[in-house]
Amino acid sequence: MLSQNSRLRAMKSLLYSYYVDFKSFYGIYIGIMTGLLLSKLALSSSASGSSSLSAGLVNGMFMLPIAMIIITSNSELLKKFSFHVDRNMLVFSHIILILVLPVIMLLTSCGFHLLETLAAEIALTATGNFFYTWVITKDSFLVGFALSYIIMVCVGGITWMVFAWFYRHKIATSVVCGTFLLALIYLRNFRDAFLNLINLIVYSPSPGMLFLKFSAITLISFAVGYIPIKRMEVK
Amino acid sequence: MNAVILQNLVKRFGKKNVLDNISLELPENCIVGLIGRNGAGKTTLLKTLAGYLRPTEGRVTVLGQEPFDNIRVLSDIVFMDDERYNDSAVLWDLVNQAALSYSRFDKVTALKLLDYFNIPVKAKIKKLSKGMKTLFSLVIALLSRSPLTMLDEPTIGLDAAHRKEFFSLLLRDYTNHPRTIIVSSHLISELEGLMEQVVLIDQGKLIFNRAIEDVQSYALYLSGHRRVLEELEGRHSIIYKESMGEMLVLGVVNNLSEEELQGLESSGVKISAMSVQDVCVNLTATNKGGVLDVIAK
Repeated sequence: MLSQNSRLRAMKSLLYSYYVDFKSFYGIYIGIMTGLLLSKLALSSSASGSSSLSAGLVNGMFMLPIAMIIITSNSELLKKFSFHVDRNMLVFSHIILILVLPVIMLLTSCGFHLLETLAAEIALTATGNFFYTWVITKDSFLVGFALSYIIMVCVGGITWMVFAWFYRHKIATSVVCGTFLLALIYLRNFRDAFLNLINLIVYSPSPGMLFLKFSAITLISFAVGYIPIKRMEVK
Repeated sequence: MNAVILQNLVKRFGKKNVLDNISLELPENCIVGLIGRNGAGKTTLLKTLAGYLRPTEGRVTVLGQEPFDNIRVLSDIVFMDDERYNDSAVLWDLVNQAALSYSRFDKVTALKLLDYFNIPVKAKIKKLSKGMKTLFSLVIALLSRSPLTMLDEPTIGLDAAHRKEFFSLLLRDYTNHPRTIIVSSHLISELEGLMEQVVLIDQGKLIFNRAIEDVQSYALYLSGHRRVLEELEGRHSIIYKESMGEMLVLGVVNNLSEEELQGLESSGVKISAMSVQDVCVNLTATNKGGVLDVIAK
């Protein structure tokens, strides 16, 4: 009587629903990127070879956490339970989103980078009153891509973890986060210790080490965020 | 085999027992009416069966396994209520998702039915009327052909014509594809022709779980002179009483003997069967008097 391949069917269905949801998310990302780059091109008489890449990173750094705040909310999770799904699958699909969306956003910004380069070349040919700086090498591009990716994943993972707890345990999470922020503001020793910790993470002898440190933080965030979702009831 | 087995099920929210020590068994392949007043615990019971909620105490078994977070059982369950789908979802995407989720889903018939009900599949859920949303959810739920199909207030927002069509559809689909269907509804009289089993709950407690034939003969209305009927009160269980001067109407649990019934008839007492709806209403009455008492004066 029990269905065969029920787990596979459920996973396909869940990923399909996220694919549908994130078509509009991607549309917003493209819209913001286009707006930013067109306005820069229209207002400025110079262009930098890295402006679309920087815009893509900053845009992604805002949009990915917003997406995580939405997908962990009770109402969104309730809708995902319209079709059968278990909590492990739900967490797994969220992790896939956190890992895949930054790649898509960064590749899109690379596409914008090519368009921007093309537009700058055309502008240079058409008018002498235009300045264009090419600052990207192959190595700096690859390192920048990898670090941008892991920073976005890490920020997305931490946001997902915080809001997975927040929506399930609003008071406790608010107290912990509030205490942390107040301590950061009013306790000098705590603030210094925290900043030292950040320094310890960020200042690394090599990009590879930095990548590993952010990966470790991301993995810890996934593990901690899994706990409240695994235990939650769908109300 | 039983589709559902509940053993001393308790579900508590805070200090309130929403489900209070419920034990029952529902057989496979039958239509069950889950009846109860607002706040009786019907939706909580269905959500517990659907694996949304974890029992506080006791044990829930659906199709042989515990449903909470158990994908093997959940893939054989569909639960329909009025807040199923994301408002911004497009119907076509939801139909595709149903086809991916349910191995038995009949997509062709689903699309035919949506067309018949004039529900545009390219529209978003938020563009539909209340009735259309309900019809869409019903089509998805019924055509998933899940071994346990649970419909929570499935006729909300439907007009009389659509309600009639829904009941015909339910019956036909059930006949062709037998399964356990639990329907929670206030429209008991409309469900009476469908239900094979009736589960009545009130304030989280199970009042009874009986075959529909038993409920149809569960109680009688006796209407006659007060002097004749008052004698019955000590000897039989009275679930309804209404005085009109010297006349009295009693609702009596039907364990009267043939002799007693003949004696009552010869004393001029009119005897009629109590409808399933009246049985359910009378057994769950609040004993606070009627709403008219509140506004009287």
